[in-house]
Amino acid sequence: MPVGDSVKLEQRSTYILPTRAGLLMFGVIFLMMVGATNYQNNLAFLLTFMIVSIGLVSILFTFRNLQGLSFKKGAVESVFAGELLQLVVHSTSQSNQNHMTIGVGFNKNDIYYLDINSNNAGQFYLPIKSQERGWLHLPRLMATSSFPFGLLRVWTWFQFETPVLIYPKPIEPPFETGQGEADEGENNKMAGSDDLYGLKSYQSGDPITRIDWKALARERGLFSKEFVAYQSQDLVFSWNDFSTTEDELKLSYLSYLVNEASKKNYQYSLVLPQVKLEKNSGVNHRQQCLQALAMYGLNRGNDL
Amino acid sequence: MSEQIALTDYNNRKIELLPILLAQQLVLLPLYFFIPIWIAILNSLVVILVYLGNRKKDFIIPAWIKFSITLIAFFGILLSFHKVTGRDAGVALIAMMYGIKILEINSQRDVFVLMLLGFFLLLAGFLFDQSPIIAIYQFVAIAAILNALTSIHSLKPTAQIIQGSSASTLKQMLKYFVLAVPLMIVLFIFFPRLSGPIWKMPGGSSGSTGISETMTPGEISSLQLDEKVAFRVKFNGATPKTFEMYWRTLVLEQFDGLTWSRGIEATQKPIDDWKNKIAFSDKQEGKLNNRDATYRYDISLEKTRMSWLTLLDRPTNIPARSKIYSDYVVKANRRLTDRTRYKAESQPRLTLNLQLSESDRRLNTQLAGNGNQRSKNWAVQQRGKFGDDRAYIHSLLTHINRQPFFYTYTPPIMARDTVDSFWFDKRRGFCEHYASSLVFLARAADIPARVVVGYQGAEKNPLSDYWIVRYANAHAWTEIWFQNEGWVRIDPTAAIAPHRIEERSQVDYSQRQSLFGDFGFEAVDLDNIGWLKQFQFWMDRANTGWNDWVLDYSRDRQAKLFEGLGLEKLNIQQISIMMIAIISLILTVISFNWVKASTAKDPFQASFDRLMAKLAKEGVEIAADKGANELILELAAVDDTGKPLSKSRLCQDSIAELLEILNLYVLLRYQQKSTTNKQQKDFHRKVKALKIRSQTIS
Repeated sequence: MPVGDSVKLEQRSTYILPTRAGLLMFGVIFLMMVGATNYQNNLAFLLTFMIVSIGLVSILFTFRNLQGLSFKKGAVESVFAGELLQLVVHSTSQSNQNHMTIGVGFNKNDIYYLDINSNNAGQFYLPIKSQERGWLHLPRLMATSSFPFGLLRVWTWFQFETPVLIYPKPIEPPFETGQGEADEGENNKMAGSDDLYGLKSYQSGDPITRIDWKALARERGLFSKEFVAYQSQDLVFSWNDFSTTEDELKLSYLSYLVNEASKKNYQYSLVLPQVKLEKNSGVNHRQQCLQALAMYGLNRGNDL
Repeated sequence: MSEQIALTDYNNRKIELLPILLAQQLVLLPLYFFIPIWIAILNSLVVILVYLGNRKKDFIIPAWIKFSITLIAFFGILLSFHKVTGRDAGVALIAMMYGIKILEINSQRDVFVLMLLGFFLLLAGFLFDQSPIIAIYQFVAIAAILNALTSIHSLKPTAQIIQGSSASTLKQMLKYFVLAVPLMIVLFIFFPRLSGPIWKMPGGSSGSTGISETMTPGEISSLQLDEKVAFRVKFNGATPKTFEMYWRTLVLEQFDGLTWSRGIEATQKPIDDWKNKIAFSDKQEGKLNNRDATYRYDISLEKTRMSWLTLLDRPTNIPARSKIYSDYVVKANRRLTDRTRYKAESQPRLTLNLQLSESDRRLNTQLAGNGNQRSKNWAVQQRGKFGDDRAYIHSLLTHINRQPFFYTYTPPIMARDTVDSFWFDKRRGFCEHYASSLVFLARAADIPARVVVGYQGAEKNPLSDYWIVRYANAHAWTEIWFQNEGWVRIDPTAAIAPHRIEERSQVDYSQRQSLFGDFGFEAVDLDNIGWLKQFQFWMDRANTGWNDWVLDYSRDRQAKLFEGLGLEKLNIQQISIMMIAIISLILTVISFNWVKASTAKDPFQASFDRLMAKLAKEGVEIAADKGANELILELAAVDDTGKPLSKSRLCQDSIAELLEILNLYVLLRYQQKSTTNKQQKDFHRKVKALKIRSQTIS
C-alpha cells in the first residue's frame, strides 16, 4: 500500500473483482455457450467469444482507469475534537488519459466520485469525524472505479502519512477565570483592522477596500469603515486555575477560553505546566495556543 | 471544475434512457425480420410510450397499462404460434419480452439485466440468418450496448462522455473492438468443440432427400421426397441401363458412432497425375477393365452451393477445373452457385485400388470406439463361419433378404447404438440405414468398407434425348474391398425382398416436371468461363471462405488445422492450455505497453519537476497543489516599492529568469495543442542552465 502525502497509484496492490453485473455476464456467456453448442452455430460461437473477449479487454480498461492517478494530501484545517474534519485530496492524472468516475473514500460505502481529466486536477473533500484531541492518523483511503462497463470493480488502498492535530473539545468552564472580564472601554480603542467599529467620512488616503459601498449605494455619501482592535486588559488562562479537575477537562476548559477570547479578539496568554505563551492576539496566536493544548502530554517526536 | 458526487447520489442518479433505448432497439432490429410483424409494432409503441413518459417529469406509466401490454403480448404469441416452444415461437417470445422489459427500468440493475441479456438476443438472430452482413451488424449492436453500459457509469450525461462528440465515443468503441477481435479469433480457433449438441433441440428431425456432406441415419424420422431436379444428363453414344446408373458424389469413410462423414485424410489427397494412373491401371489390370462399357456424357448440375461434382460411377475422365481425389470423388475448384455444365467419361466396371494402402485400410476399417457392441460380436462370429470375405458379405445380403427387413421413409428414431438397434430390433429404414449397417458389419469383420452417396437411376425425358435425376433419386450404397477385386460396389437395399418395400416408396415419380426445363438452359460451362464469371467466382470464393472457415469450422476442421500446424499430437487439455497462454500473452503485452506509456512522463513535466527540485534546494517551499500559474502569481507579486512580496529570499534576477521559464512552460504545456521535439529540448536546456541565487543576507 503506497504511503506518503503524495502517492501515485501503480499496478501493485491493486485488486480487481467482478461486480454483480459481471457475475450476471458470466451467466449470460454460459447461456450463449450452451446455445451455440446446441445449435452447432459458428456465428453464435463467434458472438459468444466476442463477448468473452470484451469481458477480458474490460479488465484492462477498468484497470487502466485507475492507473497513473496520483493523490496529494491538501491543507487540512485542524478542528476541535468531535467536529468534522475535512480532508482535501488533490488528484491529478500522471498519464495523458482521462480517468472517469473515480471514487475515493474511506470505505466502499462512503465514496465520492469525480472525473479526473488528463489536463485537470480534481479535488475530493472527505469528511472525517474526529474523536479525541491529539494527533489523528488519517485512516487509509480507497481509490476505486468500475468504469467503463461496471462489470468489474478495481480498487486500491493508500494512506496519507502526516497526521492531523485535533484540538481539545471546548467545554465552558463552570466559573469565571482569568483576571476578570475584559472591559471594552472606549479608551482601549486602537485603530486597527480587526473589528468594525463604525463609519467615518472618507478621507483621501484611506484604503479603497474600506469604503462602505452599501452606504454609497444608498446615496448617503462616501464613508470609510473604521475598524478597531480592542486593547483589553490582560487575560491569563492558566492550567492552575482548575486545580481540582482532571487533565483532559482542564484542556477542554482552556480550549474554550482561548477560542472565545480569540473570537472577541482579546489579548491573552496561556500558561501550561511546561509551556507559556505570552500575551498576544490574532489567528497565529490562537493556533499556537490550541496546538499547545492539543499536544499537552504527548511526545511529538514519537507520534510523528 | 466539476463537483464530487457522493455514493448515494451516484446510485440514485436519474437513469438516462436514450442510450438504453437505442441499444435495445438495435439488438431487436435483426430479429424483426424473422418474427411476426405485430411484435415489432408492439415494441415500437412501448418505446414511444417510455420515451414520452421519460420526457415528462414525474410521469410514471400506470401499472395497469404495463399489465395489459404484457397480457396482450402473451396472448398474441399463443395465437400466432399455438405454443411457446420451438425455435420460432421461442425467439418471438423472448424478443417480445425483451421489448416490453423497457417498461420496468427503475434501477441500474434493471439496465444491466436488459443490456447483458441483449447479448443473448443477438445470438438468437443467428438461428435465422448467418450471412456476413448480419455478423458485421452485430458489432453495431454490441457497440450500442457497451455505450449504454458506459453511460450508466459516467458522471456526465452521455452526450459529454469522452469529451463530447459521438465521433470520439465511436473511437472509444473501436478501441475496445481492436483489442477484443484478436482475442475472439484465438478463442474461435482454439476453443475445444463438442462434435454434437449437448441436448437435442425440438423440431429438427425431419430430413429431406438430396446430398449432404454427412449422414446420420438414426436421427431422421421422416424423409421427404423432393421432386426437384438435381441434374440433367445427356449421353453421347452408349447409354447405360437405369439400374447401372449409380451417380457417385461423395464417399463417407469416417464414422463416429452416429454420423458418417468424409474422412479428413481423403480431402487432402487429390490425385495429380490421374490420367497416367488410369492408363497404368489399364495396362496392368486390362483384363479386368471392360473397355466396352465406357460412357461419355454432359451433365447440367443444378446449383448445390457445394463444390462436389456428380459423375456416373467410376469416372475415367473428369471435367476441366476440377480435381479427383483418391476416393474417386470429384470436386470443382469453386462452389457451385449456379447451374453448371460439364463433360465427363465413366466406366462403371473400372477396377479401383487393387492394392490398398495401409492408411486407407486403417481408415476404412475404423469403427467408433464404443457402442454397437452386439453388432461387432455378431459380425466376428458370423465371419468365422465363412471361408472368405465375399461369402461373408453375401451372407449379410441374404440375411437382409430373408429376415423381415423393411424399406420405409418413416423409420423409427435410433438415438444410440444405431447399427445394433437397426440390425437386430427395428429392421426398418431406408438406404442410409442399410448402407451404414452393412459397412459397419463389414468393418467389424476387418473388411475395408465405405459408404458412397450420390444418386441412383434417372428418368428419360420423353420429349427429348436427356435424362433427369431428381433429389428424390438420392441414394447411399457401399463399396467393399476384396482381395484381387479392389473396391466393389454393393447396394444392400437391392437385397430387400420386394414385398417389404413400402408402397409409397414404389410410386413412380412419373413425369411431373420433366416437361419443363430444357437441356439448353443457360448454364456455366466449366470449359469456357468469361471474365465477368471469373469475378463472380472470385466473389464467391470469398463467400466460400466465410462458409469454410466461419460457418463450417467444426471439430474436424479444427483438428485438420492443428494437424497442418504440426500439432496433431495435442489433446484437448493441451490445446486449451495453449489457448489460455496465447490470450494471456496478448493481454500481458497490451497492459505492459499501457503501463510503459502511463509511467513515461511528459517531457515537460520532467523538466518542470527538475525546476521544482532546484527551487526546493533554495528553500522555496511549493505547496503540493500549486501549479505553474500560482507560482508565477506568487513570484511576480511586488509591493508598492517594487520589492518582491514573495517570502523567498531569491534575488531579483533569478526571479525574472524563473518567471520567463515558467511563462514558457505554461505556454508550451497548456496553450499549444502540440509541441515539437525541439521545443521540448530547448525548454529542458533552459531549465538546466538556470542558476537560482538567493539574496545574500545583509
